[in-house]
Amino acid sequence: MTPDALLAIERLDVAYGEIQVLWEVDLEIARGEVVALLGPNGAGKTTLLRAVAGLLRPRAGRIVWDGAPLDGVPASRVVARGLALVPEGRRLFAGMTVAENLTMGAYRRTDGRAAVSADLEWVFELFPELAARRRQQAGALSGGEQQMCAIGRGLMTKPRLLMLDELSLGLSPVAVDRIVAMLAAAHRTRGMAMLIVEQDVRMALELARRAYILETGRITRGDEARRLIDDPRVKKAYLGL
Amino acid sequence: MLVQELLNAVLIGGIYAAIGIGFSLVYGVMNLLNLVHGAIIMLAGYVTYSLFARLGLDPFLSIPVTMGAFFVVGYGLQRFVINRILTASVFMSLILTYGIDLVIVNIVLLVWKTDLLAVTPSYAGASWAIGGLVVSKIRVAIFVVSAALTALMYVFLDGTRTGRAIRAAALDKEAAELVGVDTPGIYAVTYGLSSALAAAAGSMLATIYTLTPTLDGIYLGKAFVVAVLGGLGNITGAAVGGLVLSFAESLGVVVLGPSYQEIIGFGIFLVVLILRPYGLVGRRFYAEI
Amino acid sequence: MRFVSVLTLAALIGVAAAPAIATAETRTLTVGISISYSGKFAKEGELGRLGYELFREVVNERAGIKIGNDRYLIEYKYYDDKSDQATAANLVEKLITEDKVKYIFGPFSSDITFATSAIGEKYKVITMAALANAEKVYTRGLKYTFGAFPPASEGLSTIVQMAADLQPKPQTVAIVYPDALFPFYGAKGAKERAEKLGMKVVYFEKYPPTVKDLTPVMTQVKQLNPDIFLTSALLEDAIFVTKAYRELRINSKLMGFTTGPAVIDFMSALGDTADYTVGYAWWSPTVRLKDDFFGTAQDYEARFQQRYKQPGNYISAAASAAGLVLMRAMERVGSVDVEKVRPVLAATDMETFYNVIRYDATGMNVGGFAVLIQDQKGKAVTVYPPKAAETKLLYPMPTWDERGRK
Repeated sequence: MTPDALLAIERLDVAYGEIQVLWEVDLEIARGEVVALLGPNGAGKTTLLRAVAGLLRPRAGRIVWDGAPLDGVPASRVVARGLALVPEGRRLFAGMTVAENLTMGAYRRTDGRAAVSADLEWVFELFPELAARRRQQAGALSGGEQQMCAIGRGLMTKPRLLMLDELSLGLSPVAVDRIVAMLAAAHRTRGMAMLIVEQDVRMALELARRAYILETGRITRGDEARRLIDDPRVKKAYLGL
Repeated sequence: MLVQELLNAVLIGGIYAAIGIGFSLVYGVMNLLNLVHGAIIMLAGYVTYSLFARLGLDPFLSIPVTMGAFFVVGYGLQRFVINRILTASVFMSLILTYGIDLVIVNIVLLVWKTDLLAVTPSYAGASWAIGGLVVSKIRVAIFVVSAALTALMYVFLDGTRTGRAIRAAALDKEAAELVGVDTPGIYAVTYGLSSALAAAAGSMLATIYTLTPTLDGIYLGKAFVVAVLGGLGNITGAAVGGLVLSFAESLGVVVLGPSYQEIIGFGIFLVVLILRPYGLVGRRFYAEI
Repeated sequence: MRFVSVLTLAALIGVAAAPAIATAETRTLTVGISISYSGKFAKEGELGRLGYELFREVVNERAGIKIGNDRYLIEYKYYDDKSDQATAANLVEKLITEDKVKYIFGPFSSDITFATSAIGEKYKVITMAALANAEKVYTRGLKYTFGAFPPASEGLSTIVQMAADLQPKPQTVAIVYPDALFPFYGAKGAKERAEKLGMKVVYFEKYPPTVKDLTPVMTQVKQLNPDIFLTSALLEDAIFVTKAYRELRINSKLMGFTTGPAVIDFMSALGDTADYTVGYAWWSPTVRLKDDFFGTAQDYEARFQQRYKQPGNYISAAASAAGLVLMRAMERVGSVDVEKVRPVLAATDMETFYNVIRYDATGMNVGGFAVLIQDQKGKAVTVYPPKAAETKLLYPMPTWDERGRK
């Protein structure tokens, strides 16, 4: 493992009760790096993200964040350390407005109201659709707008690593493109690392510099994105070519 | 005459709202049917009685005392006892909270025996005569205090960091944790607040309802109906629910006769449950999982 | 010669006495009691228990009941019926089949006794239903159930009886009661008496027993402004109704209750709001009655106060008297066998410190009469009938304005 990796996952085993789902997963993300996690449905990608985010306790192995152990830390404290998850299905606070949802992202921040306000305005610049709807109930937004709001909420936590689980799910290609562009812009401005779990392989490999492939609970490939794009096996399995 | 009945119904509505608001809060936030709720209202009433009988403390002035004390008790109860079974089946939480209710009833029987007790301050029974109407001073005071507490809860939930965290945890527990909300702590605060509200109700109601060790069941029944009518988890809904129930009861008496006082309320309760389970005021996505 | 006859006489006496001394035994009679320790009737159940206990203590002090040559000490087997009818029925069944009692002292509440007395009847076990008096309990033709309270319909109607002779004579009567056996019979009896005496019953309504807030009902009463207002209910509702009278400023001439004015908790809960209310009791320490076991009513009161540090009450008195009545029947027949005791018990016609006890064919005490109590300046005083009265009734009740509202 690279010594100054931001996130290092070593030989991680995760199980739901008796059913083991992840075996000896090794994964690494450097500061500011964009990494994709690919693989078929049911491979365990979401489980891995949830374990890193603190929603699941691993059975064995280590998660090291910025040099300190993260496994076993509960989700509410993981966020405070700079790791945010934009969960599958968005999971917005449906009864709150867009602005309230975004502000909830700043719940754990200690850097003062001015900084939080500034970030809020930055998110609205990034996602003008949200700005237009800032006082609307989050549940009334379209799918694409909800995804923007979820990402915005994640960005409001001021993360050093932002994890995104299946952001393209249920969205039109147009909406996905738009969101990808905004994510790229966010990354350019703030430079946080990102871990993207995606079914849309082409989109993921555009954004990411490196990628891992997870199949039935094990990491089977880990390589630079451009090499994976050109790999005939990957092309056949995931790009439908 | 109808006007007098309606006026009384409004005032009783305030009482019912006070009884139901805490119950609704706990269910909405933690998905817990808190069978202890009625027992807390009852116990707070007995404590108020003792404060009044021994220290001469006016029951309305004892509200901050009982609210503070029961916030602490509720916080501790949730944090160290109830939290352990919160994720287990509904059955478990019903058994546990029922058990705690029994413990409280027996504490009451042990300390205050079976005597019927009443808190009778000097202004008990006093009323204003306005036009042909008689307005009970105590009931107006109860209404005002209940309204104030409801408003305060609303402001708290809407405008404070902790309040927003409570709302977030109610809407989506995991998503809340993902933005850093410490849900066990928030749940404990919620339960503590609910207990404080119940205690306030108990202190005030001791001035109009005689204290008996069977009050826990009576209050719980009312709280449940009020909360469902208003939408479980909906604070302002509890106010609406309280008024709907009291109006149903009063009108039931006027139109059909005193033997219908309870059944009308339960009838409406059933209808609401079937047709609009998220309550008369509740909005749809509050009820979505 | 004289010496021999004295010796013979002594020997004969010795022989005659010997069997008595040799065979006299001290035994125990176990009586089953299923009564309320918790729930709605907890208070009344407690008072009943105190009465049964006092009886037991006095009996055992005097070496038990004398039956033939034996003496029977009394022992109780208690269970808590939680004020619930089904629970009580199960417990009585248990007392009879498992604990094998042949005598039951009854629970508080006519509804509960209705169920438990049927069980006793099934197993031919005698129930002294001391604390239940709704007619329905007795009209089933039960042979093994005997009461102590005079009939339910007597109490409230006695208030009506007294009212008919007052000046100015009341014209209108309003009656409310919770939907349960005993309250219904009390209310019905009062209604019938009122109509018979030429008064108009303008309101006769029942409310669900679970109701806590009777304000809607009381508002209707206010509209009618009756001369007499009668509440046939238990203590909690009586307190609420009286408070509502003050709060809603209803001014009747007379307020009558089945439970309330005679009970300490009523006055301590209401303070001076309780003044002028009229209740009845099947007993008061001032009645001029006596028996050769407990003595006069005052003697019982003194003993009760000394033992329990609280004033006596008609519930405990009835319980104690029921024990006395059963004991006398057993003594008279010289046996504890239920079939032998039963007919003698049924023929009871005696005066006790508590009340006259005379059973009709159904086992109801038709010999008893009610005394009326009024709260005057914080004290419950007997005002009727004249042979038991301490002082005169204060009538009509002054308006709330006159009484100095705050």
